[in-house]
This record gives sequence, structure tokens and C-alpha cells, in this order.
Amino acid sequence: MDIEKLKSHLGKAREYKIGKDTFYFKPLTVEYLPEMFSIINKLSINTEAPLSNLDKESVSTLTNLVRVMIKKSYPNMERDYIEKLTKEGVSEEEAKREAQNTIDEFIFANFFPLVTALFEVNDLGAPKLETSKMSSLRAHMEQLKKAKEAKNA
Amino acid sequence: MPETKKSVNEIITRAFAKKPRSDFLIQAHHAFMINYGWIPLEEFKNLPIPTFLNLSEQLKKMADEINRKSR
Repeated sequence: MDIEKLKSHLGKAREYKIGKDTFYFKPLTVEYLPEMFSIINKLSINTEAPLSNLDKESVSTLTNLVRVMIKKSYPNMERDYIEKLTKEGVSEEEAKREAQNTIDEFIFANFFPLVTALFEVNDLGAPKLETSKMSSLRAHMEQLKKAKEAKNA
Repeated sequence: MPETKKSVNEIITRAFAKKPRSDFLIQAHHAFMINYGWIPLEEFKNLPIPTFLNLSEQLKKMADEINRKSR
């Protein structure tokens, strides 16, 4: 019996390795369940190629859910980083933007392991992510990233 | 067993069967309160998803058992 399975049923964090680093991700709370279901519904329309069902809005929702999972798992991370930057003389506004961008870049760089963790840790089963469809999803993500950068500029 | 308890299965099944809607949380919250008593909305919203799914599964089993016995 995998102890990690027990943890997921208790709503506790589960261990995930991304690259050489170990992360502990906590499940989301019930308030995010409708968004989780909306993604699952879209992924299950075409089970042969689930990612083809994801439109820009779904990718954005999924990205946001991953962001929430990271922030819930590491609630002090963003604040600590902002404090560190402001002590180094960076303005608070700039520090917040830098912290946000760092989290977003981490998500973009590790989107698929993070999405898998999101579904597993919430006990909803990992979707079958078809590798051939990843490139189109990455393209959507790049567009989102550029739009965000343009907004911040 | 009160009549309201018997309807839990129907409420949960209806809530899960429907496509996600904004009233999903209201229905699920209502079904939980019928069984567990008053639950402040904020506390309900902060339940971890796996805990919620496990409790829902237990409620469904209980309701199925009640329905089976009442036949």
C-alpha cells in the first residue's frame, strides 16, 4: 500500500518530483470543484485525444487551478520572496510582479507534471495527456504568457 | 428514518449528474447539511476535494442502503 494514497484521502499534501526537486502539493478545496468538473467534462468529450477539447478558456482555467494548488501548498512562498526583494531595494509593486512572473514561468515550464499532480492530489484521476496534442496546448500557453507580459508592460 | 434523509441520494446524484453550474456548490452544501447538520458555508467551501468526494460516496452508500431496505 502506497502511503501517498492514504495522504490524498486525508486531504494532505502528496510528494511529487519535478526535475531533481521534491514538491508537496495539497488538494484544492470544494470551492474549486465546479471548475475542476468543467475541465474534466471537456477532457472526457473525446477520450482518444482529450487535450483537443481544451480551448483557450479551459487552458486558462487549468493554469489558474495549478496556480491555486501551488499557492495553497506553499502559502508563504510568494510573501517571503516579495519581502526578500523589497529588502534588496526593489519596489513592492515590482516585487509582486516579479513573484507572480516567477510562479507563472514555473507553471509554463512544468505544465504537464503539474496538471497530472493537480488531478491526482485531488483524487480525480490524471487525464490521459496525449503527447501529440501537447504542442498545440503549449502554443496556447505561450499566447497567454505573451498576453500577460504585454499587460504587465 | 426521516424522509429528508431518503432524498439525499437523489440530491447528490442530481448534483453530480448535471453539468457543472454555479449552483452546484449550493446543492452539495444543502445535501451535506441534511446529513451532518448546519455547516457554515465558508467551512464547507474549505473542505479538501478528496474529503468531500469520500463523504459524498459514503452518503450515497447510506442512501442506497436505506432505499434497498425500504423496498
